[in-house]
Amino acid sequence: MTLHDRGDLGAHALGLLDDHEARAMDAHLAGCADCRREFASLSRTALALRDVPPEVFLDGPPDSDLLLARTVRAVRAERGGARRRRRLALVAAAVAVAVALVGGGAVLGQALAPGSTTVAAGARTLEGTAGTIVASATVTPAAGWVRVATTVRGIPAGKRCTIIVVGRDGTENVAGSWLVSPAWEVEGGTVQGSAIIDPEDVLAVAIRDEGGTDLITLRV
Amino acid sequence: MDRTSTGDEALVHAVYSEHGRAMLVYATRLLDDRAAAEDVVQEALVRAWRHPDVLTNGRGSVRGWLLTVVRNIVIDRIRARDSRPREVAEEPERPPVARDHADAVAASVTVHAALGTLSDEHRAVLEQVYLHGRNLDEAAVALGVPKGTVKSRSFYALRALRSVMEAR
Repeated sequence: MTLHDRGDLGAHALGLLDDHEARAMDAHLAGCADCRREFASLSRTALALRDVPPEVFLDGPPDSDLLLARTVRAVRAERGGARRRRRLALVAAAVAVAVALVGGGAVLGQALAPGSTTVAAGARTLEGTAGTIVASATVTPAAGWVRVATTVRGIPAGKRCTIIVVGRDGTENVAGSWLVSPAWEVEGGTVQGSAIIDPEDVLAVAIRDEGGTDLITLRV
Repeated sequence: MDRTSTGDEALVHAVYSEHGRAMLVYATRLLDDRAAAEDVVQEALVRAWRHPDVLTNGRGSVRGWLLTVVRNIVIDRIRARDSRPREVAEEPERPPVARDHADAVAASVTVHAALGTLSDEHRAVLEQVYLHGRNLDEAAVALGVPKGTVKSRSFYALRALRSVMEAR
């Protein structure tokens, strides 16, 4: 092997060299700081590739088109359903406003007038109360997904809670879940979560119990 | 937002024919169940249809987004099946949902996007190593090039990936 044969550094980082070549390369690296630096950096890159599934290298369609036909049917069905849901949502919103005007929002058990403040570049903190529950959620945008740090107290111990990030189109993404402990009920605690949703599309963060009831909804 | 049924189907078709195999093979590996994997891929494709904006970000990050969605659906299903959640630690500073998960998603999105910028020659070398698990001799035979070429391409492929990932 010649000195500074950089091509071999890449092959070594990928573990492609045979025993003899690898030993020779290691001997060279021991005495050459430049190559050692380059090798360490290439190895980190090679290692980062292990975070992605190897299937990322597969191109093309699956071996059967049945799945495609099913998916197209699902999309057609949902397009029909989405129109109906939008109409229902408008009706529900009108009803909620009417209830708030008459008897106050607490009837719904929801935070109807949460505060929304900005704490960091791109991050939004949503706050609200519903009965004994006091909650805030900080939504921090990432590339195509969001981090959600939810701080909450006042949920009865023993409740199994799920954090749901709701999108503008009504999609719901689970960002995390936990079981409320006695201490947590009184003092509260923070759950860190993440969800695949475009940061711009986040409409609300809800905490839902195991029965499917939203204990509190924090709207953007 | 008005989309015609033809447009919707064209979008699903396009995603399916470019990324469907990667999605299905990945889901099948995670679940070890082809039927369940098909359900997951169908759900992921429907999500992609709901978010047509992410499909215009370039091939690498689109595939990264799709595979991450597949993985998350698989994780959600496993969580839903697990009817006994563990009691969380009392200390608020020890979150029950590990941050590492979120960081891993971020890292893999970056890697996916970087992979999308590689030339076909460089990508093919990494495919031999990571997807097929081939050694230098086997990769050289599969690609029909000398071993020295596989070595130098692997070097330039890693360098190209590194520069894209460092730029982010």
